[in-house]
Amino acid sequence: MPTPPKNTADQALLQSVTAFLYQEAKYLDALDYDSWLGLFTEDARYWIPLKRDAKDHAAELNHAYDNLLMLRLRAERKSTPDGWGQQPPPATSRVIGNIEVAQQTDGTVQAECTFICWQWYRGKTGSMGGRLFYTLEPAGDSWKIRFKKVQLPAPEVITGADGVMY
Amino acid sequence: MLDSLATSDQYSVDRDRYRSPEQFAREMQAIFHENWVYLCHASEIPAPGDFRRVDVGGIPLIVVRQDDGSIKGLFNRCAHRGTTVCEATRGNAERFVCPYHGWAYKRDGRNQAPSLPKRYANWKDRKGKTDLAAAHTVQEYRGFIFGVMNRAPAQPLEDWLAGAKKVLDVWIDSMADGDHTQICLAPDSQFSRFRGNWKLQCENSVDAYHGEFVHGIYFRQLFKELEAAGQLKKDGLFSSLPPSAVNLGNGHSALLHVPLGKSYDSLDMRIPMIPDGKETLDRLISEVPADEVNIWKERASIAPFNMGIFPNLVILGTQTRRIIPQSPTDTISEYQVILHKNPPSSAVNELRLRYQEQFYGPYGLAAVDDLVVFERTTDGLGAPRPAPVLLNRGTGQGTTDENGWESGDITDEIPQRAFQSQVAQLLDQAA
Repeated sequence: MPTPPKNTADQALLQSVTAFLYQEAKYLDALDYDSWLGLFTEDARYWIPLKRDAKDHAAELNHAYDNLLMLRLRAERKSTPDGWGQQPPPATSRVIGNIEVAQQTDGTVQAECTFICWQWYRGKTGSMGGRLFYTLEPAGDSWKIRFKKVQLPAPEVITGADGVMY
Repeated sequence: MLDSLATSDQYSVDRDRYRSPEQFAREMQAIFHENWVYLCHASEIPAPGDFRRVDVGGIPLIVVRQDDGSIKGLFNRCAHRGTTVCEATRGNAERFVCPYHGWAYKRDGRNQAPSLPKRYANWKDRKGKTDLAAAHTVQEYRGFIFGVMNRAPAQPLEDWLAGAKKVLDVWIDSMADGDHTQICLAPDSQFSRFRGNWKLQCENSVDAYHGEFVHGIYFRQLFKELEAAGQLKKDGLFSSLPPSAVNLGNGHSALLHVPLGKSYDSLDMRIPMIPDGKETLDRLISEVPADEVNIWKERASIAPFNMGIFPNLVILGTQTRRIIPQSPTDTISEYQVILHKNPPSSAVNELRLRYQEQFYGPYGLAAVDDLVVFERTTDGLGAPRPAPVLLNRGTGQGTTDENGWESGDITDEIPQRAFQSQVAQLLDQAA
């Protein structure tokens, strides 16, 4: 479990991860999926479980358990005129908060945060919130996402065709 | 008015069928309350006290397994002031207790006594009058539980199922060697909601005409990945056996991807787009006895048909779809993945789950596009002209197949005509 920063090194780490998560959110709001996909490692996984207490992505039904190919296919749909579920593209504005980080002995970082996403889609406004969990690995002076879990608020969340990525 | 144009090349329905509150109210009563509707699957409520809460055309219902193994459909409405007595979607209950004034009901719906009974004169003489109401009839056909809410069924369930019974039988034989208890639904559901009439989802689930238009991007991506994997067949994706659209009677219909009972191995072409698809398929092949690999590859893949069981159940791909009307232009669809209870390799069910997530689910790459089309249809039908909604594709060109079913090209609107004719007939009978 991540803990609040205790010293300068911790604070530097928190600052660095915070900048990274803000950048990710900015790419998603800008619908800049090429840049967003560039934040993931080649072997990355992107998981949206169906349930809050999901444990086994393989044996349970998920909303998504993507490898990089699936993420690319999603992104591709968003720039295609007949990707009907993306026409017109959704507009979003998201706030990332409550960021916590924990350095692991293997050099990776476990990070988690909350998000609130205001969204507009096909004439309707709405919002989604939830919690994001990351495994980040160092890449130059920044990070790459090896694993990301999007925890939506409840299994009963009924999803329309809004096509918003979190 | 009864449809008299079922065989005419002018077959069409009025736009009010997708919009009008009066039409919707009549449908809920005549179709959802007075005739057979799908409730849930037996695997969801295996033990006494197990329940599944569902919405049946606005009637909140608790489907509960009884101590003797039978199934009851209890109206989820306290006999006192009307509060629901069950909130959970699924669970096991000894009793259902109203949160408002504490009235408690046994799992068979019996109310022993009002809480704090002293201020009720002669409550002992009113025994039975403060029980939960129940659906008139609840009955299972090979794992699928149906009910009639408000009256005695006009037809026995098996007659009502008509040709759908045969398709179910053949499918259960091939999926589970005839033992339907080997088929179960995954314990969690996905849901989608769209701004449109419930019949749009029913019609779309058995519509092969829309595939290359609504899902063009999906198929382009699939072809590309198949090509990259060296798996793109020259003669196309699908089986060389002829597909068809069939009218199964009583509003039921199916798209048969291959003739009924024929083998349909569609797994290999889905593997390149499924995360860990190849590894999971390799594991299936290594864990399943060699002489059963082809059978289990088929069982790990989609059903050889899309079948609409009138009015609210679709068996399609890897899933059951329950269509839950909310208002004339508001509908919820519930998706549940059909799984094998005791597969020889966990890879079998994993491949089914992954395909569901990838294609059909609310975050899938295909079914979300249908939802947008439903909403655009709802908007478009605001215009009163040029004409009613056309469902006349392939009229007059059908034949009768070897099962005695009206049959046509898989893109013909036979399923939609079958469905809408049944809607019209049931409303006409109720009028």
